[in-house]
Amino acid sequence: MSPNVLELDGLVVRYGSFTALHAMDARFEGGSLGLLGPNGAGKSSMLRAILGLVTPATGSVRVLGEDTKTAGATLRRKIGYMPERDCYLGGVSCVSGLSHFAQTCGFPKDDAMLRAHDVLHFVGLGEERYREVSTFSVGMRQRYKLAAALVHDPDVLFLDEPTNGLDPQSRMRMLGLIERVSKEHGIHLILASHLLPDVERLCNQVWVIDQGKMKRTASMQELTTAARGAKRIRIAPEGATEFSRCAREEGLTVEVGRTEGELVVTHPTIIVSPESVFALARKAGCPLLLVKDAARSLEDAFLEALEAQ
Amino acid sequence: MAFRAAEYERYKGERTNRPAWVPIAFGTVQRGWKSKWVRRLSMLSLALGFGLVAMMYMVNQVMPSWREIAEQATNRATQGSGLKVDAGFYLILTNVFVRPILLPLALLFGYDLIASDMRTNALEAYFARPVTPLGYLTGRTLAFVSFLMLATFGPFFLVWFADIATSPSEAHTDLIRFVPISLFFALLFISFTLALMVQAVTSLTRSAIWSNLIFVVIFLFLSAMGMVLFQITDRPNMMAFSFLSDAKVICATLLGIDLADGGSPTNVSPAIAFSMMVGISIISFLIILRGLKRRSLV
Repeated sequence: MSPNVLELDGLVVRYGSFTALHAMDARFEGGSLGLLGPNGAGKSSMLRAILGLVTPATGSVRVLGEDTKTAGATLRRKIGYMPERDCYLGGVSCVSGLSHFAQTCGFPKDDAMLRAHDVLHFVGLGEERYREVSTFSVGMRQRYKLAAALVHDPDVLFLDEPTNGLDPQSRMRMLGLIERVSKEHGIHLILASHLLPDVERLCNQVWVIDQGKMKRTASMQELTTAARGAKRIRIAPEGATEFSRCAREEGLTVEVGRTEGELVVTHPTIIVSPESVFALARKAGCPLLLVKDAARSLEDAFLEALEAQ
Repeated sequence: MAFRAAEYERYKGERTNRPAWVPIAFGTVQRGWKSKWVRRLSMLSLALGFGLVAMMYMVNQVMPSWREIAEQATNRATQGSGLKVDAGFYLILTNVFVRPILLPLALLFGYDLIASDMRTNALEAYFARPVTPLGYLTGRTLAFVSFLMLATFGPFFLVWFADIATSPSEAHTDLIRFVPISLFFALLFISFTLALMVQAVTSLTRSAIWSNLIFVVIFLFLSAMGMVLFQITDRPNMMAFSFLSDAKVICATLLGIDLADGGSPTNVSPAIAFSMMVGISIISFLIILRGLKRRSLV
């Protein structure tokens, strides 16, 4: 059985008297994980702990089955990190800088150079590879940082706000690159972002962090499926009024959906089953066109998790 | 060139177990060598070495006993303290290589090494990889010191080799046999201290202009201050403030020369000169390491 990609066991990180992370317990088995949290929630501290750059006060962090306390530096060969702010080697070409970074991760010199060329082609900077990074635009710098995170072929990719400052077209392109790396090459993804649509598109697991505490760990499906088993239905518009009346008689709440004939049916305490929806449609005498779990936006789920005690 | 598809591929080659500081050291040398003035000064130093060798060879062809002639001629001119080609001659040569070559080369090579990485956040990129602050500093410093040694000890070695090759007697050979080892350790110690000091200052200022101003203070103002304090107090150990004076005493001590014998009262005692250098090295090391450790918190 392969080990969890990331395991936090009672992780506490302290800076002097300030506790940045409070006894965090969580497991990430693999795939893609989104770290969500407001500013100052503890995402950066968690990242430092994952990279083995801060020693936990108590508890432990295991990445790919290895404890960051004991395997810190060697473990970082398997981790690709794309930081939020720009970081590059000054005074050298983009490709030389990347080759140098690959060499620090144990790549032989020739392989490192070849690999630097390859990843720059992959992120779309092939034509710009002999330029210095300081001359790059914001979008190019973001792609350079992704290339720098990938150059040593990591097993886990940590991305901190990868689409910051990008125009919509560049953002979609960046998300496409990350998606390809994650889905086609099996590189596990840990994404910290304030842009919830990015997380929603890329991640299948979400951890919500606030004030150094783990508020929620769930799969994306769990989070975006409405609470209490709500169902989204579509019926013929003329039958909507009758259906709503019957549903209210049964103690259900009915909200009008985003499109004509769409209703969201919820119950305060029980999961609304498809069978009960079919029974209501029969009673109301209107045909059902669609029944499915009502999805919420990740934003709703995120805010709900933050508000939860 | 073969067509390369814009597709990501997993790396299938072997990774080496080479420590991360090795590529950092090679990268540092390449980076330093890119500076026009570093290249010029290094070439000048090597050219000086080769020039001295060529001169020794030619003079030796014309006058095989040029050493005695030079000693007698300078004896007459200086009333007794003539030029003798022994360890003292190599100490004089340090004036040619340490002041005009080693110091400016150290500044030109090192003034932007760590500062540049701090400005561009490259440290963050390093420390997110298998590079530790100590490994980073080891790579940078080793490359820095090796380069300084090549540019200063290299010419010394050439001159010494020519001197040995044209040696007129066994006695002369015995007299200078130990010189390269002594000079190697003296220059290594000075270069190491200088490399750490330059990096410490630049890691604090993070700016080329401020770094250079601080070096002006260290090398000129402190030397002048040492001299003034010596004049006021009449204590030669006040000259310990002068880095150049300390360097000279260290070279002389390792070459087995007692500077007090030459009638020069302005020299620091060797123990104080060594302590000063060791102190500078330790303080610089701690300053750099503290700065790097702070930066290693991504």
